[in-house]
Amino acid sequence: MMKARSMRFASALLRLSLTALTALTAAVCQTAFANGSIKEISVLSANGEPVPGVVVALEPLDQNADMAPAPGAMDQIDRQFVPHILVVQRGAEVRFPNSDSIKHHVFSFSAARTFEIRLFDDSQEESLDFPRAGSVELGCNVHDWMLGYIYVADTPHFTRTNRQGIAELTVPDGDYRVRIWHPRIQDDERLLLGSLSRNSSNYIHRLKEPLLPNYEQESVGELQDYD
Amino acid sequence: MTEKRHRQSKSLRSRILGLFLATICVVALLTLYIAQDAAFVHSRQQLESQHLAASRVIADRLETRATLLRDGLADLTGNFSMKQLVASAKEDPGSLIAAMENYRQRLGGDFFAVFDSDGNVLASSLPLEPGFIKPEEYSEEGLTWTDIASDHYLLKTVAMRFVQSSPRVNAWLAMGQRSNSLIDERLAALTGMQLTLLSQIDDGTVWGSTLETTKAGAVSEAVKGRALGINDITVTGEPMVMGINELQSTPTVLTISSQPQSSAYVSYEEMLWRLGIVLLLATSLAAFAALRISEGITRPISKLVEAANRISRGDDALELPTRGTREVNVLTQSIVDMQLGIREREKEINRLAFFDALTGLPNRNQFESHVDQRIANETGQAVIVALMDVDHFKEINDTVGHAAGDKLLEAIAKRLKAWAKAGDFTARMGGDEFAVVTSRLNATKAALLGEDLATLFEQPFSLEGLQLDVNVSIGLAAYPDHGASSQPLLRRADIAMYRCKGSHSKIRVFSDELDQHSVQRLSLMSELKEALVDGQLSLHYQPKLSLSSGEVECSECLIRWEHPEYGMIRPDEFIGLAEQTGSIRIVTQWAIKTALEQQARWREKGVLLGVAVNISALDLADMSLPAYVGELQTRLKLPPEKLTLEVTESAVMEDTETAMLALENLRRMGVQLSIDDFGTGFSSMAQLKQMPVNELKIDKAFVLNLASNQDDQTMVRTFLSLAENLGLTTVAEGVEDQAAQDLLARMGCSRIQGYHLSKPLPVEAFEAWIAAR
Repeated sequence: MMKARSMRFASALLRLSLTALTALTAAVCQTAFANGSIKEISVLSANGEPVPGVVVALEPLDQNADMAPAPGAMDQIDRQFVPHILVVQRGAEVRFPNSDSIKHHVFSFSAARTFEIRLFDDSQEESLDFPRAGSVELGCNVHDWMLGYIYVADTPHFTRTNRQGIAELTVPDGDYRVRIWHPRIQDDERLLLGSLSRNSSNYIHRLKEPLLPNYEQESVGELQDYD
Repeated sequence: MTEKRHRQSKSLRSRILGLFLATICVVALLTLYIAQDAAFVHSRQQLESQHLAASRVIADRLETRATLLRDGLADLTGNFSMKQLVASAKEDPGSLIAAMENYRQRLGGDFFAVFDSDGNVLASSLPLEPGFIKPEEYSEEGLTWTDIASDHYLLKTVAMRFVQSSPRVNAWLAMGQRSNSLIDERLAALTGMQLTLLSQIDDGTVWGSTLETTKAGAVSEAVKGRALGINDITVTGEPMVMGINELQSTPTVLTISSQPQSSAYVSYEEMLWRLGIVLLLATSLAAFAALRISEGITRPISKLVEAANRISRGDDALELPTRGTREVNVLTQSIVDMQLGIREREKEINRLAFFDALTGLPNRNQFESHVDQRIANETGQAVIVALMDVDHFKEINDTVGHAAGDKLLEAIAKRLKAWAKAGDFTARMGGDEFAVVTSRLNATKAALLGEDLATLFEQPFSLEGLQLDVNVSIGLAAYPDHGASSQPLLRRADIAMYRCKGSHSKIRVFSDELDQHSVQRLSLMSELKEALVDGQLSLHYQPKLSLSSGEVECSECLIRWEHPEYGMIRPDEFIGLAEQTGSIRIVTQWAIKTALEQQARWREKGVLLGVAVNISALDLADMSLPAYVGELQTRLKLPPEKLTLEVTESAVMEDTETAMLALENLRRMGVQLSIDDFGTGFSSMAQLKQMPVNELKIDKAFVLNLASNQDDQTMVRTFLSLAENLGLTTVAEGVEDQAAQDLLARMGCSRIQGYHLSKPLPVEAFEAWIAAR
């Protein structure tokens, strides 16, 4: 049994690394294709400390961003959603594999995507598309502690802040709307917007409200993906 | 001790009982007081804790309800279907309301509501103003209250998160319960009290009560201003005990537990009743014990009282308490001792009562009863009683002294005892009187007994070196001739004995003639005073002739009693009795008065004749005599020296102070005093010398045979020379012939008196005799 479990863990890691690889490849491609510029966005808390892991999306204001959205996957490993926060482009297909040997009942009542995947195991993987932008809060009806988020960005340019609270994105030249999101941020959604003109490479966003308490769902390891 | 006094004084028993009962009552009342006080405090404390408990029950109930609501809601928020319904509330509110209504019924609530995360109402069982309820304010544990449409609700809310562990709240579920449904009969039954929930806000609002409506309405007013804890409050006329307590989590809300005072203090009152009954029992028991104790004390005392009463009646007290308290035992012993003492003294008294202390002979009492007994026992046999009296015992006593007199009596008794033969009974009757009773002789031979007795006195008695000849007079009486019992026999023997005194015989047997005489003598005395008034008494006069002048200068006045029945009675027969009865004074006064009046009449006729009156020794004991004489002489204007008072030698020699004083007084007045019957007494020369007298009157015993008897001549000559030497005049009485008269004249006698001159004569005859000379 131990063996089987470690096997599953290994395959999950493999898939994760594949996903990361895909994303990385995409980013590299973008940088390589467009003669874009590097933008640096800092997120500071109300008391001026850097906030790591914050989703930062740059929505182009003067160009179409209808690139083919990369698919995503929200796995369930050890009765946790992995990753804790999954960011996908609008219209992306997200798979919901189940690496656990037990059944899960994943659901969302969020406005961006309301769904329910009734008690499934790894034998019956489900996929859902996310046609509307916004945050989707995921829960498992049979495991109250399970909490996960899928943030659907209306742009292919998105990333998350590193430990220093800085997000770095290489985007094609142009004007962008900066959109910030994180489940711990309490500020009104309308206040989490900023703008970044083609000439400026830096945007600093300072939060008004204190962060919600850290519920420590997010592992440090996940954040490293965005470093 | 009278019954009344017994009744007035409290008995020991009632005292003990009273004291006991009083003590018990005080103890009982004190106990009752203390116990009721303690019981009241205890009962009050119990009430306090009961009401506090009631208050806690309410609080517990409310908190339980709050927790129940909250837990129910919490359960509901995790319900996936409910999440779906809430998530789709905007599109389908009906389903949500229906579901919530279902849960409201399941939880037993009265009100429900669903709010979105901003507090907007998604669903509600009652119309709510927007923003009226901030759901998060009702989400904490504990009691949270709200007012909805004039009702008061315990309201709880729980946040709903679609994803359970999400930091964000998606909605609020609220469930409320009306306050008045929280306080119900079940709760009242549980606490045994009527319960009320009262909010102090807005001047007091009853949030719920199990009291009847009118009372519940009045509660708010009734508890206003009252302290927390239990209070006695009258609500709508009913006295209640109310426990007022704050609801711990909501101090503005009071819990009021109430019960009627009658039931509140039931245990207290019941305890008082029980205590009362116990005390009553204890009191009765103690009273019973007191009764027993007091009876234990008083019963032996009653027995002792009974014993003492028997002893006082002269009976033997046989029944005495044998066992009792120490005090009773001591008292019993004392009574036993007393009884023994009384018996011994009775014996002594008996001895004294029946025996003569001096001689040891039986006394008069015993003699009398012995005689009676003998008469009763020896019917047909003669019983001879002899009474014996020593002659001149008084003189013997005076001469040799009382101690020697007593010795003489003892010696006589000794001879009597030695003389007495079997069946003889001797006694000393008192003074110098002895008695003998015998049945040895016939009644006709009574005189023989007397003669036998007289032989006892033939030998002289030897007293302190003196040889004393003693003569006795013996009177005899015999049963059945002279009496049927001791009394008449003794009286008659006495009469016979006294007859001896008047004669020269020593022995006399009673005869009826003597008795008649004695009876007559007795009746005379009662008639004497009448006789004086009636003039039955008169004076006879016997002249005294002066030998020097040959004239009759004086006469002796002698009393005669002419009794209408017995004829002439001689003075010897009634003067002695008059002396004994005390009538002598009247007789003497009468004689003096009559003599002086006669003297006054004679003086009127030109003859001043002296009068001589005999007076008794008793008259001298009376100091009024000199005054009486003086008054008469003054009134009749008679010279005092013409009255001579004649006193017997023995009377003068008694030498009492008053007699001497009386004689001195008379002498000083000038009255002549004469010693009568001189020579028969025992006057000493020394006494004679000091006597305030003027005259000696020589007794007729020496004069009657003077002419023929040489001894008498010697005696008379001696008397006359003695009188001459003392400066006294002399009178010789009993002169019966001329020879004696001549002899006396030669011897130098002053005056003579006697039958030779004249016998005593009545006044007319005397006057005639005087005239004839």
